[in-house]
Amino acid sequence: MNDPTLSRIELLQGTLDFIILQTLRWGPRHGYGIAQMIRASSGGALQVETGSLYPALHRLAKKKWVSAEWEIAESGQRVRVYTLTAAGRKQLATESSKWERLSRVIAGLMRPPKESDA
Amino acid sequence: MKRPSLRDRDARDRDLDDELRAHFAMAVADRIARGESPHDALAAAQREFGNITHVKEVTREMWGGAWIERLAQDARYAVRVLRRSPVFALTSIATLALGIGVTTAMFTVVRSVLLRPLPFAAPNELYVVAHEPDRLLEVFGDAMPDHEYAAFARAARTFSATAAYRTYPGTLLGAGEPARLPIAAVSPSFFATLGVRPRSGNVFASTADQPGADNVAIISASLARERFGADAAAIGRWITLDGYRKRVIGVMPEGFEFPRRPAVWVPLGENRDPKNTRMETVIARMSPSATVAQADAELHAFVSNEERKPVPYRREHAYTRIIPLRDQLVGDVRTPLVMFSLAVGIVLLIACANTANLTLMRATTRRHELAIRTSIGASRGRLVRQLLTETFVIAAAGGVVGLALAFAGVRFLLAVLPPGLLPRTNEVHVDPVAIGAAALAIFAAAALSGIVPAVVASRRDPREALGDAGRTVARAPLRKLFVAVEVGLSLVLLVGAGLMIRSFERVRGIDLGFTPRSLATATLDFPETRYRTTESVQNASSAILNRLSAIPGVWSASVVNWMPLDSAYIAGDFSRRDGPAVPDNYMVLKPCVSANYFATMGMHVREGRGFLPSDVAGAEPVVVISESMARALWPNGGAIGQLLTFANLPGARDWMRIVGIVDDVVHGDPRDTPMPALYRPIAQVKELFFVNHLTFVVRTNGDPSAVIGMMRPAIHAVDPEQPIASIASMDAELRATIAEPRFRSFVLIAFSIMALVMAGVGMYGVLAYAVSERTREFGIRLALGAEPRAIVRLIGTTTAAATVPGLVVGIAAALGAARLLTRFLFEVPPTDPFAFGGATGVLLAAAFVAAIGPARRAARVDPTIAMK
Repeated sequence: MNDPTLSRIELLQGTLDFIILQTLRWGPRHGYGIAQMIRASSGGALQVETGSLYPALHRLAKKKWVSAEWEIAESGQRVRVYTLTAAGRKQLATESSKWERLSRVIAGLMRPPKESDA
Repeated sequence: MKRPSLRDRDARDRDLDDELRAHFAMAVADRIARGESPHDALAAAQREFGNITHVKEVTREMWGGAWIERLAQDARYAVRVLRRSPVFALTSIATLALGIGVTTAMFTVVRSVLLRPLPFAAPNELYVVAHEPDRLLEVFGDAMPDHEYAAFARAARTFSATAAYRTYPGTLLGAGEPARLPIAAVSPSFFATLGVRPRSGNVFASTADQPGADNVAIISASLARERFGADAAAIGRWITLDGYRKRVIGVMPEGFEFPRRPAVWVPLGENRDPKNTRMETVIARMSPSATVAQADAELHAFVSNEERKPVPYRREHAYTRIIPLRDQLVGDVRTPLVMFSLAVGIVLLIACANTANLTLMRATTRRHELAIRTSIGASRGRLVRQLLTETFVIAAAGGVVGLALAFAGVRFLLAVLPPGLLPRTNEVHVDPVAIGAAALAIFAAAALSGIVPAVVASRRDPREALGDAGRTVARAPLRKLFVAVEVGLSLVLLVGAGLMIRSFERVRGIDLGFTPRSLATATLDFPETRYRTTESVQNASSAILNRLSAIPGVWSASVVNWMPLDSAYIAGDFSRRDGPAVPDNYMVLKPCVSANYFATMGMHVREGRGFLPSDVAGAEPVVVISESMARALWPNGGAIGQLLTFANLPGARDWMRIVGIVDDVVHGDPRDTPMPALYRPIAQVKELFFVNHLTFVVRTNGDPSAVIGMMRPAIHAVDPEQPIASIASMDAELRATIAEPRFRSFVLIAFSIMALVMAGVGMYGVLAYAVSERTREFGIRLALGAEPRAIVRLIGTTTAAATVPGLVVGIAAALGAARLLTRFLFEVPPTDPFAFGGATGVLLAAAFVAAIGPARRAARVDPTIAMK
């Protein structure tokens, strides 16, 4: 069970799209796999609800940032696997630089102000 | 982008299903692999996954085009839900059908009559130009003397074309059965001014108004169809109109019925005699470069120039004006149509308020369903959408039924419409624009009656609804507001109808001065070509009177030249031998009657005697005067025996002796004050002009309808070629003269009844619901020893609380609205307490009736059942 004191982080729509694209950078993955990977790489802090994940995946597919293929899993189950497209990669690059800038700014805001800045 | 087809969507739906299933299966498998028991794994995975329907729904929304599917789905669901509550559905549909139906029907009429352009070329350039003595306005409408028109047509610079016309009834021979038809005498420029062409043949040549060239006629499409079959058969045919032979040279297109639906157009001869005071309507097409102000200035300059010319008669004060042709055509009907439009607007509003109320109540009873839908993940917007879709389905169904009602309603309206009350009725029909208006009404109705209930219903907290449903006492202020609105609006209509009924009763109660019951009339015109002398008409009239008297069931037969209810009459002046001169403007009616006319009509001879069979051509000329004339000229009595004359320079034989005084009778519109009258025995009349239009009046022993059928053969036995203008009972003639107020009352009453029924349904709904919601409370009260009567009183209070505010607001609104009706009210003030009291009483009675059922149910609540 998750640590109940660790409240789930609410994700903005754009953020989820970015995280999904980011996840797909390491190779094609199905929806469940993406959810698991996000949870694992955030140390359980990020839990993507199916009600957000699938709309996001279908939205990204519609924007042609990811492509979807049906594959047969080892269990014999039909699964839909999402792959990052070239357009998706480009979008990810833009988003990444935006995110880096944003996190630098946020990080700056978190630091106590220096005397000279006051 | 291409929208995926429904088949694609089905495949995508299955794919999505598979995708989510796989996700779920993998989650369960992972948990089992981590060592959870299959049971726990399933439960945990389910919790984690959430509501699969919701996930599908939000994912599908990403596909685009989902709104169509959702709409279809909502509509399907709405239909299913509505079928489960047929009473609600049918009541709402019927209510909205009525509202939309009357709105569409009225819109159709208003548009055809008031809004659609006249069927002429560039109709906005057409004006009516008038210059006439003030006192003639009532008789001729906007008009101009014949000789002035010719001068004006030559002088006008601001008008590119001018035309004059007159209409009158004429006798048609030579085309089947003799007939009395409306004729329009028009100047040769008439058709060119309007910019219309005949459908076959030609218009009048510019010389057609000259003697010798005027033996031509153009006929209407309906006359061509009825009398000749085809245009080709009509063109070139010779017909006889009022004794003049005319060759048909053209047939006008279907629907061209200007002015006043004539069957035949003939050239209007120019009469240069300046003494002639024949009046004509003058229409003119304004030059595109000219303005109304310029035209006005030109007309005033022309008129002041004309008025400086010497004339052999006294100049009277005359008015001058230029008005758009459309205003002249629809002027009289605009106000009633606006009034009716307001009334239908009110009906539609009430229908919407009613549906809103029903929807609101139903939303409350559906609280449970809505709460479940909210708790399984339906968003509030989704619920509002769903509820609005339901209202829309109702409104659409109501609209379809309403459109059918509108079709039927317009037909019905045209059938019951008194002829001549509305212009352009031939152009009234439900068309695509009207259907568009109905569609608009549907949207308006759905929005008006759906939004508030949908928002209110979706606002509820599901926990409350699911938890202690039925325990809360809903005060429902919105529902009471809707009922108040319905009551108030209904009151406005009821007051309007009440005022109309009161006014109509007054009109019916008018003392006509004669007894119309059991009277039958036949009106004939004696064309000059066949009856050249007064004697010939007098002989024919006596012969016809003899035949009519012989009909079984006829008690007495008499004749008069212009009967009391006729809109036309002969009036004029006279002088008296002794006493002060008769005032200049004192005019009297000059009826000519047979000896037993007063007895036949049921008029009382107050003093002296009526006419006798001995009052013939050679005997002393005698007259009988009406009471008001006697009072005006001989206020101290002594009228009997006095001598009067119509002649300017009377000779010895021109004096007529007053031998009697009779009751005043109304003439034309019963609402007008009776004009003084001076009766002469028809046998002593010398001028043909006084006798070539005669109405034979017979008093029957009972029902005149039996006699009416035998009057035509009696007349044709004397002259088989004699056209008969009309045969009718006097009651029917009377009904025709009051057809307009009757029609207005009828329409307003019909609307009021609709409003009343809807308001009643609304009140019933609110009360029935209030009772069902408070069943538990009533049960407790009864269990604690409350008298059932107290419960009934409680319902009474609730009824009053829902009704009285509406009544108060309604009375205030009605006081304002009634002022619009002032013009149509006869001897009834717009604040008539009986109309207001009656309307309030009717609504209170409706509220009482609506309350009976719920009150009885409340009093019969079984405490043991209610409190379980």
